[in-house]
Amino acid sequence: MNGYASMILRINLTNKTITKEPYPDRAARDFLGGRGLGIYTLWTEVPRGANPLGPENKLIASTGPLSGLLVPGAGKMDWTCKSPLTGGYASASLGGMLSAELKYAGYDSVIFEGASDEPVYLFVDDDQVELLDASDLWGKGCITTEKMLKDRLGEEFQIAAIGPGGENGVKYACIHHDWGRQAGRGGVGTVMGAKKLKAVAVRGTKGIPVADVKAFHQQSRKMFKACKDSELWEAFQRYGTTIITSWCDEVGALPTRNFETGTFEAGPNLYGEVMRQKIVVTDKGCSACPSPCGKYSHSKKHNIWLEGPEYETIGMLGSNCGLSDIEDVARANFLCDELGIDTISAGGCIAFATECFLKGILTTEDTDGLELGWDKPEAIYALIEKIARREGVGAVLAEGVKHAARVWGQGSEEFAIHVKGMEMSAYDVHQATGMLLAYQTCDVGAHHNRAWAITYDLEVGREAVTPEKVARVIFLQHARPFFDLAGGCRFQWIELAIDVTEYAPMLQTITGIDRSWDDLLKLSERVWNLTRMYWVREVPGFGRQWDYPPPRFYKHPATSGPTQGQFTPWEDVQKLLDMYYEQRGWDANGIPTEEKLEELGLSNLVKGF
Amino acid sequence: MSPISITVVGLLKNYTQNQESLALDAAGKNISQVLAELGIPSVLVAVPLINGRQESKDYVLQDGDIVKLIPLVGGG
Repeated sequence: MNGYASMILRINLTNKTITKEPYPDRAARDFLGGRGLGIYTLWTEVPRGANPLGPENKLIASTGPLSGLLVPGAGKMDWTCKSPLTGGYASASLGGMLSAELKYAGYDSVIFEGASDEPVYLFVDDDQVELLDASDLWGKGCITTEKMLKDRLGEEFQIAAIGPGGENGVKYACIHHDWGRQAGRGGVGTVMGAKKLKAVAVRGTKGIPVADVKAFHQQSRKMFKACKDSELWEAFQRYGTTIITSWCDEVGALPTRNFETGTFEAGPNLYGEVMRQKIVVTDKGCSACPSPCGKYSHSKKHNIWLEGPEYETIGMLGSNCGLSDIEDVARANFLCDELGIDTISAGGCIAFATECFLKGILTTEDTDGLELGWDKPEAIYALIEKIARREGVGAVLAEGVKHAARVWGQGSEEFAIHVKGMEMSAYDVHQATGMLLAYQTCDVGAHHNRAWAITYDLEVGREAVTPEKVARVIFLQHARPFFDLAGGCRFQWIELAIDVTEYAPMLQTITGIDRSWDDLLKLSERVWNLTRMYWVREVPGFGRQWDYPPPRFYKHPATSGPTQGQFTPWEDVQKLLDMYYEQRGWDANGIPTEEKLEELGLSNLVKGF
Repeated sequence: MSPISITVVGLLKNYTQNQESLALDAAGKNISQVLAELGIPSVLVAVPLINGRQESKDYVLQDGDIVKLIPLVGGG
């Protein structure tokens, strides 16, 4: 197949068998690749009710047809599994160089199944594929592991690794790559750890077949030129995602002190220009990126080098924990990266514990003597270590805020900030109904990357509850995750504002298959509905109540800033869901109807589960 | 005092009759005041770029400043 290596590696970690299989035609046709192949494999191969940490769960690492090619931003890949954090669908996007390298080695995807008794790592050097002993790497940090493997194998090998967080079963452990890129959310690193798979090392030297090379080059030049000509390039290049920190603070969207409000009095210390001047050393991008958003930094205060912090980490480990110095945020970021835990969930868990402590729900007896509070960097570093090693209070927080609220009770459920068990990422939504709905209905839990609707909220009225706003969220939920199917990055579209429909002719020159942009959106909708059905299949009683937001946003007003005194009334939460389900063709309980599944060609696949 | 050059990007041009380049006698005024004069909602401006650097909307413009107003696009 043009655009694909057309080969999948299947690694059985129980019996150590390695097989090479042709890419399933149906998956390429109906699900494209990336997270599409991920959910297709999860649905068809992982038994219903599988233990996320058991050998029956699978970890599916998938590139897409753009990966490895000269397409702006074509440096992403997806990691899918059943989530140990939520019990539902997990899919995490990873940037860097691994997706291209894997394609060059001749594989579109790797399916990890079973579980090893002893630590191993996967070695791939074109056709040579082996599972090798990783006992000397086990216990090491992510960045340390990457360096050790690069020293051992050679700089040209691309490495993905887990750290102590994944080894110790922290439910939001991530997979690290390229000195600071992560497949961060939902516990993909936890599943890797449960399989005793420490790392993946890949080198590839092959090419990727393209249907029409001449047309491909023309379209590639056109799209790269559009990126470089963008009026937005200069600013985005300088700041990356931190471009929005000041704006979020200004409009009341910067999560502050466990989302009690959206404006942080010390926010200016964390803004993009301050970070650029204080710690950024250089820009760092992924394969085929014309606008590197990564900011490689050095904190003199802590003597650390790291990629970041990017905006989500600044929001969650910074303002949401009350940290007022970008270098302290960098230190917390570095610890999470090295220990292999998701900075977003870690920030949510630490802020939750801090609020519990300040409300007297926890005491120093519960926190192993730690005095928790806002802007206490040493306590935050200590909590990160405890979480990663599951020590004391860290063992509770390692399970996520939903679990911690159940354990600690005393009304803490009111300020446990999650949806479906996943900690919310870094946008305060007391008064931003589109973004609130995006969080409620995101198919992995409270994550922003499927639909970043907050700009639309500000454009059309943040409190508006209208069919148009709901339609915008649904459009975004198809358009943005398309990139996770294709193996690309959405930033060239959403940050540089290049014409997103150009990806349709781009794909056509690669695959030779004529698909319009609308066809690709429809394909993405098919994937969205299958991921929804996965929740229905795996979570007993799944339905509308799983789409409810944390009470903080519909009962407790924001305490300061432009949204002070505001929250989204419960009736509006319900109205948003009613409109959303109706527009999606789902029933009032949020379950896709038979008609919708038939329309999307999913009926046979999901029949009879 | 010479007029200050202001470049308006993307959807913000909806508020300037589609004009991309403006020249305003804005020295001594801050960015928020300039946005108010132009009728551009502050919340739609993600980044006021002054001489290539992100500044706050309290920044007071000086003679010779080059201003670029960057809108929100997609984020996250």
